Amino acid sequence: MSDSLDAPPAIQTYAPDPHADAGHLLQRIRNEVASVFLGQTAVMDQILAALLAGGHVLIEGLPGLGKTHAVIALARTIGGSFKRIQFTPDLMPSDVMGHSLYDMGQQAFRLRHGPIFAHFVLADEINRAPAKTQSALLEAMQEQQVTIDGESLPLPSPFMVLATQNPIEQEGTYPLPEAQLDRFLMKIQIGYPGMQEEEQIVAAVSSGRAGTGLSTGGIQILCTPAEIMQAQELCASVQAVPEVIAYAVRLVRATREMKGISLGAGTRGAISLVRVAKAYALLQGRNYVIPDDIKSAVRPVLRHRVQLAPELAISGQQIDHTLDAIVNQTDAPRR
Amino acid sequence: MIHEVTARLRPRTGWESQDLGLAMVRNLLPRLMAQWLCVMLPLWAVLAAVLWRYPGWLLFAVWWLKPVYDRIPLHTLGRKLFGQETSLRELLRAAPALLLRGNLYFLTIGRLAPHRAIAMPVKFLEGGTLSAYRRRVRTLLLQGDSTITWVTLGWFGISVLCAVGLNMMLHSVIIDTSENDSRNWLLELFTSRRSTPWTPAFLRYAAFLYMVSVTLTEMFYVGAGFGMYLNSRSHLEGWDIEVTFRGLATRLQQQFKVGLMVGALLVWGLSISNAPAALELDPETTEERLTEIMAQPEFEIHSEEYTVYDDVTTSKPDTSDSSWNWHWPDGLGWVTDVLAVLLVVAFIALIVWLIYRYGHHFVGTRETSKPTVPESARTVMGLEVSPEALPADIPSSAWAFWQQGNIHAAMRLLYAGSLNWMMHRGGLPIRESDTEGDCLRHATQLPDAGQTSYFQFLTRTWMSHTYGATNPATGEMELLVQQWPFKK
Repeated sequence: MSDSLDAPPAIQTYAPDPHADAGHLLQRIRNEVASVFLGQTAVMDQILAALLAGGHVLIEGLPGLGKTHAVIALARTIGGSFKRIQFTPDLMPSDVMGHSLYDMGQQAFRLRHGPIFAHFVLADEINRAPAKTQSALLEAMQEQQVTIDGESLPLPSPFMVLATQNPIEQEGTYPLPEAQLDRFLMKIQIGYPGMQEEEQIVAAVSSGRAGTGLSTGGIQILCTPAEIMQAQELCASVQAVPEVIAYAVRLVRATREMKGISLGAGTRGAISLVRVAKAYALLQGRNYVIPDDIKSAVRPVLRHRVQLAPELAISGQQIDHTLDAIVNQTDAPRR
Repeated sequence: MIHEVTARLRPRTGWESQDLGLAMVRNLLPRLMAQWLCVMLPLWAVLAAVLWRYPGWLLFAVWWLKPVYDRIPLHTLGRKLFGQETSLRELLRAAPALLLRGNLYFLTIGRLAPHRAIAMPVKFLEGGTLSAYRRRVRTLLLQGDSTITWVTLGWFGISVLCAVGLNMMLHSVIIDTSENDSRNWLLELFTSRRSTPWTPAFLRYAAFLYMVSVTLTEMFYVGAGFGMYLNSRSHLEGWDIEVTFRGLATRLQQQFKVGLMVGALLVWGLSISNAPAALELDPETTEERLTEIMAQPEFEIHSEEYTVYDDVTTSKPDTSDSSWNWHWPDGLGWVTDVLAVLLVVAFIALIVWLIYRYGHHFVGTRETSKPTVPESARTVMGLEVSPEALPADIPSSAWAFWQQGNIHAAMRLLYAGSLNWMMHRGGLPIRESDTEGDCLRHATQLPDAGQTSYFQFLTRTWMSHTYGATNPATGEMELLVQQWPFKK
């Protein structure tokens, strides 16, 4: 199976208007972001799918591949706010959530919002912060609200956390436990762009005035956060026939029975699979899920929910290859 | 000289004689090991320094020079057999000669000889010319060369296993400590993602492991061969009898010295007195007497005939090389023969398996390049796609279903029919686990662009109907039926 599985299937379909309109809007957003995130269309599709499904993503990739640019550009296209938190070993939960500060002038405590109060939060190198801070962030992701000094404060909608991990330099890190990894809807792997795209990046950046990245100043606002919320509702309404849902469940169950996997995916994995498949369908302007949507979602949705047996992991077996094998061995839905 | 032998010599089987040599090495192990390390470490250091840039050659040299190393324990064992101790200083003094002289034969044509462990004592303890050495080795191997061959193979295997075991041990130790030192060069060696493991660092590491392995095993191999060498000489030259008689003679020498002298004098006196009578025999009488004596049963020449197989009607006297004889009851020789047979069978089985496994790479080149259809793909996405499950005229049947209001059956038939044609006529490798998207990707390989575009349209209509609960319009269905491109 090729790497194209990470990308949604390129199937053009006829679709009813609301979904088609949403699909067109999302395509425009994707194209806009792609102008500063060159050569990573599959990654962009996955981030958009997670946004539509109301989930959060864990991004794994080497530094310097344009993750921050992509998120800034995405936030700008939907007119949302963006905050970036660099996770370090001394980062405290209050640094992320915010805290109460005594205002001497007004003789009262004043709430100071942390950087988590944004539509898009880029949690850079999340595994460098201790478990306490990680837990605080992950709780906020789950509840979409934070509690400071007993006061519950809702986070803006849409709310999306994009946490990054560096696959190398694992020394001095606090790896996320499996239970917390499960909170992320998808784990996206960013690789190097292709030759042509890399040439375009170098040419574009080197012709700029200063800095080492593409400017996001020219990004157009294409919609509002409210429209994204509507798209999320539309996404939830995308139809998935029982056979397709059964296919997703069969795939997830296969991860528990597959030799070489010590920890299979849970029910949340199957739910996430269908949610992401619906988002893929909407990205294509469809109002129904096809098995290929499920298939495309398998890698990003399940790769952080299953664990290879130690002997396979030591031998260099990649989890993606094991997931591909599961997909190849599982019969497509019967209609 | 032979009366000074310190080992208990007696005829033994091949494997027992190996035990004798191993016991000798065990008794001398601290001394042998010290001598080995003192000589070999500098030698290997020089070797490594010279061949550092050529790690492959370094590994090869460490293996190839084993006959040179073997002279160190052999020298000590040979002297010890005759009661002479070899101190470290003596050995170091003798080391240059041991390492440099007389090794040419064993480093060239004799390097791969399976009986090297027996041949080396002949060469270095007995000396002699090359032709004499060869005759001597042939004679010693009359006792049976299969055991020494297996001993050589066995100890080579042990040395390799030892190196592999050391590698695994180091590997496990380093994995355990990797968190503390991720820049350890050895760890990088193990975790390197290069396509080939034959990096210079790996070869140097392998050479180092092999040096350690040879240090741990080689002197035992030399000892085993030395024990077998002693045993062969005991068999052929009656060393054990000679030693026993010499001991007996030594014990009796003092007590019966005078008596023996008297007896000798008496015998001499009698022989002198009988001599003239003997001398008076005429030649005819002597000839008659000789004929009588030779006719007695003691001088009869016996011959025996053996029938080896039923179909052999005429047997010859056994004049073949005795080393080829099978001595079933005499020890463990039969084990090696059984192992040899098993080895041959395993080798043949391996060849057969390789032909079975990879034969298609060689036999399929002349056939058509059209991919074969997997047998299992009789159903795809739950649709029966085998030719016998489908009607002859698919568009007409589908249209009939449509007119009956059975839209799903009509769509199923069109989609299954197109898959059937692509698999069985188009030769596309569609599997059971393939989805609509996979089939679309396969369809791009169809030679006719019209077929590809038709299948894309059909797939969209099919998916919209199946997963989106949207039935095709009548016009779409007419189009699908009329433009059906998958004809025979």
